Amino acid sequence: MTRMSHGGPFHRFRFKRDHKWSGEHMSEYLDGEMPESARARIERHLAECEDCEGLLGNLRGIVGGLAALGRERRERRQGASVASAVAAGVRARIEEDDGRDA
Amino acid sequence: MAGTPEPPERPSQASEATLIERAKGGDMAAFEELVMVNADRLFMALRRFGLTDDEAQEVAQETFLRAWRALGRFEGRSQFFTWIYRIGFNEAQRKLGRRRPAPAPSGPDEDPLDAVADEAPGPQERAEQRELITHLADALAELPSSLREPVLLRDVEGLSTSEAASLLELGEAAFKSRLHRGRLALRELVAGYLPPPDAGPA
Ligand SMILES: [Zn+2]
Repeated sequence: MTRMSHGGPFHRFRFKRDHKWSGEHMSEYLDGEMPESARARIERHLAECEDCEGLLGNLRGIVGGLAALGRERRERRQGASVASAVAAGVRARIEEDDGRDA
Repeated sequence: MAGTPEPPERPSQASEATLIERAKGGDMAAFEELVMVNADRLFMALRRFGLTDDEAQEVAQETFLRAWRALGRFEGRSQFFTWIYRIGFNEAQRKLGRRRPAPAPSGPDEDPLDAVADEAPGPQERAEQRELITHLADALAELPSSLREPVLLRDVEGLSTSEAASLLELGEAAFKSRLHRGRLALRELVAGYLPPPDAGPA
């Protein structure tokens, strides 16, 4: 479902060309790693193409989800080493107590 | 880097109950397993109370030691972590009390767990995000490594484009193209789990 404003042949040609180009460069746009002229081109197209708007939204969701996955993995990695250290400490203390009781 | 093995998820309730029973009977190895499963979560909670890494680790250790001694009084009416958490919460208060004036005590209706367990987004959003994350992790594993590695380095590990590109010995243009293709492939694989277009802040 794409929406095109005016239907002149030049406009349709430009729309198709920009649509293909935008689809290929949407990640660069999302990451803010685009020169100003390219940004302007993609934004002009985004304003008239629902498909590309949808793609941008999807990519934003994916990149956000991947960042959350990364945070989770880092926490778990840190957690695994903390857990080992805590477990070792607890074991030592318990054995110390048992030794005193005996 | 690409294939970092993930530690196993927490065990099912059934096996946790078994571990608790064995630990109550004096089985130190069973208790140690309970520590391994719950320590990171407790540690994170203690960090959020304002303890430093070192303090949180020390308090976590103290908490489990107390739990070991009091294990006979754990009746299984609450979850094991909730029980541990309450002990840890009190230990953390003592620690913080020694450092600065104690924070306003929470009333009986204010479960300290509420303040910590659920952060900003609502439970519904959290569940959806959770599901998306799980499916993204599976989908990543399905990508060819030429697409997976750029996504892992840049989007999961959070390196910059230039850092990630040079690690993979790729030019930036080639890297960006693979990153984009990788994201597009993920989009196909997790299509059903992406938030609808008008969700979230406009
Ligand atoms: Zn388009």
